[in-house]
Amino acid sequence: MVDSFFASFGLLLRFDIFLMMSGGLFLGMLIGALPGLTTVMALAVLLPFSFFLDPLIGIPFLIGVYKGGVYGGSIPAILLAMPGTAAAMITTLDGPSLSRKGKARKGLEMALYSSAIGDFSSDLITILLIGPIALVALLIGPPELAAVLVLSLIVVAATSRGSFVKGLAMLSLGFLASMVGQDILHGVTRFTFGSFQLKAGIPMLPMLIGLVAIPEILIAIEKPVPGRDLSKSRLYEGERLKFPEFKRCIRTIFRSTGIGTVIGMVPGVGQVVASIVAYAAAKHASSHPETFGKGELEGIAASESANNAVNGPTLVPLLTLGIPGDISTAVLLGAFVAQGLRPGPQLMAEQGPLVFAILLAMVAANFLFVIIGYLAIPWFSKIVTVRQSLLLPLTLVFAFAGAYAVRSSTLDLAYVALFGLLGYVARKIHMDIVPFIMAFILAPALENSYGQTLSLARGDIFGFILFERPITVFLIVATPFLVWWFWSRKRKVTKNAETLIPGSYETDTR
Amino acid sequence: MSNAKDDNSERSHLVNFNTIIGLFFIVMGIVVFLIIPHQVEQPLRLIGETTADLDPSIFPEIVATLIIFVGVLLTGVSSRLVEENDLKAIDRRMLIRVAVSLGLIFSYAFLLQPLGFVVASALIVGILSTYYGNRNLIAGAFVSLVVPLFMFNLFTQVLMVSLPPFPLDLGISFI
Repeated sequence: MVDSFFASFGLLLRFDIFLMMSGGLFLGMLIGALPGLTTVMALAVLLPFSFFLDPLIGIPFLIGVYKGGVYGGSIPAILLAMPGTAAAMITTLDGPSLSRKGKARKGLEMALYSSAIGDFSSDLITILLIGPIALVALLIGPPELAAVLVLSLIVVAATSRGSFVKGLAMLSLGFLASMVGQDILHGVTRFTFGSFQLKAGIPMLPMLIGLVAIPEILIAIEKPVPGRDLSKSRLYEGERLKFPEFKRCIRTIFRSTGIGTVIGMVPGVGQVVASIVAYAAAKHASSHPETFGKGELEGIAASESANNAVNGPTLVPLLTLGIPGDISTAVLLGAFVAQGLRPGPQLMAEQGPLVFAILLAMVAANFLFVIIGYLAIPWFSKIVTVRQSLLLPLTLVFAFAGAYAVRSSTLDLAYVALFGLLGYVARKIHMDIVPFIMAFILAPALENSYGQTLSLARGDIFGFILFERPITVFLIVATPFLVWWFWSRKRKVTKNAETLIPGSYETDTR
Repeated sequence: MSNAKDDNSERSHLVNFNTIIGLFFIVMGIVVFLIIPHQVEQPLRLIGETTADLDPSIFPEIVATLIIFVGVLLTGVSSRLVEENDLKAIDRRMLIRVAVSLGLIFSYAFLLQPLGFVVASALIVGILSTYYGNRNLIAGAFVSLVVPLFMFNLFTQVLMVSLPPFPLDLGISFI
């Protein structure tokens, strides 16, 4: 593992890697800054670009988009009181107040530096943790992997937006969709209804683009789209951040980074939860909590450092176990698979230098992040006023181009449209698409490990698990308790979010 | 009279859109169970013995059971779920905007190959941007043409990925 780490430096020192990463960061910030476009949408639409690039260029490019997008969402949150991404929701509590006082630039710079520090610190922690966790992951076999997958999927359903039962419903639909095509264990066809095209199964990329991008467009156009508000285009000007102001927030930044890092390692929880918990902790720890919500810089620092600190650790379960923590890492999983890298216990053993090179590229990206963010603030601040009437159709073109590029198939475009309709209806009836996507992606691995477990058990599954796989027994017993804990934490966080921003978070149900 | 009114509101509260979703899942699960023997191919048999340790129908049956179970659960808790049916909240104007957009999206999917990427994309951007309220026709025309052209060149010349070509290319290749 240590050898792999040092070998990765040789792979990393290439100009094209840093160039593409800078491009990814810039695109991510741009897309994050545009209200109506989400980071996940950007990742899904740009994913096909990475297929045609070297893995050491394509994957850091996507990671750059991911990181940039999380920060980019804070720009309209501060200037327009409208989060560009869900992760920037809490930033709207203090950002707009600062803008009204003519201090928007101060807020934007605090968001930038907090995001960079949060991201950088969590990336370092990720590099330190990934080796030991990968070594532990190598010790687990099919029964343990099946148990971990089941636990992860149920946690994703429990922490999804809306009710737990509906999360399970979407999970089951995702399993059903994944079964179309060829069975992974036997190679027999399932649910193809005699169609030759369905023998290959439902392709992941068009499904992802359809579920993520199309509903956003449809929801944005339900009401007449607003025109360009030129009066907001110079809001970014004003007082700059001073060093004593930044220094005052250092403790908050590091506390929030810790919170974001821990939350990032748990599948299904994500940036929104991290920013809510960090904000609440910062307010609680502050000697002047009454200033929060009225343009307090510590509020922005807490939210932005926490939501960016999630970025690195979400890769830990992805790279070591092949389990994506959220939709963004599910898209990154698609990028890894397309490049011939199968995330999981074997990845670090077989491709250690490459994996460490990608992680080190993430660390280096944080320095580019600060430079690009600082220089581009004036430009991004003008971008927030771009007409949505032009932007939304262009997003559609990007989405279709990306979906078509992979297999040059009109059927893939039909999948985009169909899943777009499904995603739109699901949003309207409060069914979260995240469990669907996670189940679709993880079902083959679950079925494979389940099948291998049954083969190993030689007919006595109960005895095999009970007497020969104690870790599996532990995971099975722990599953209901862990699921209940995550579900109750989600309810608490939802109530906090509703207290902070009424109507912001889908209220939890039974 | 007031009791009858209360009964009606209680009944409408007991059976809501989540109840219908739950019942839909139950029916779907049953249908999946019924079609499994016809839609799950069986592995090769040699001298009457199957080559597989595990029946390929097992996982589909587990999933079908899960769907039915979730349907029953959802039907049971539907009266306690505090949610608005946002589909009902779509008014006529919104429905028209969404339906038109969906119609154009589906049309774009099927016209991309016959018309070529640039022409199909220029049409869709032009029509949709105007429909969504863009009244600066010069900006609209510029964006409709320039962005698809740029993307076509980016994909085909830089990334070496094929997109449906201009119809002109087909004409030129026959000369």
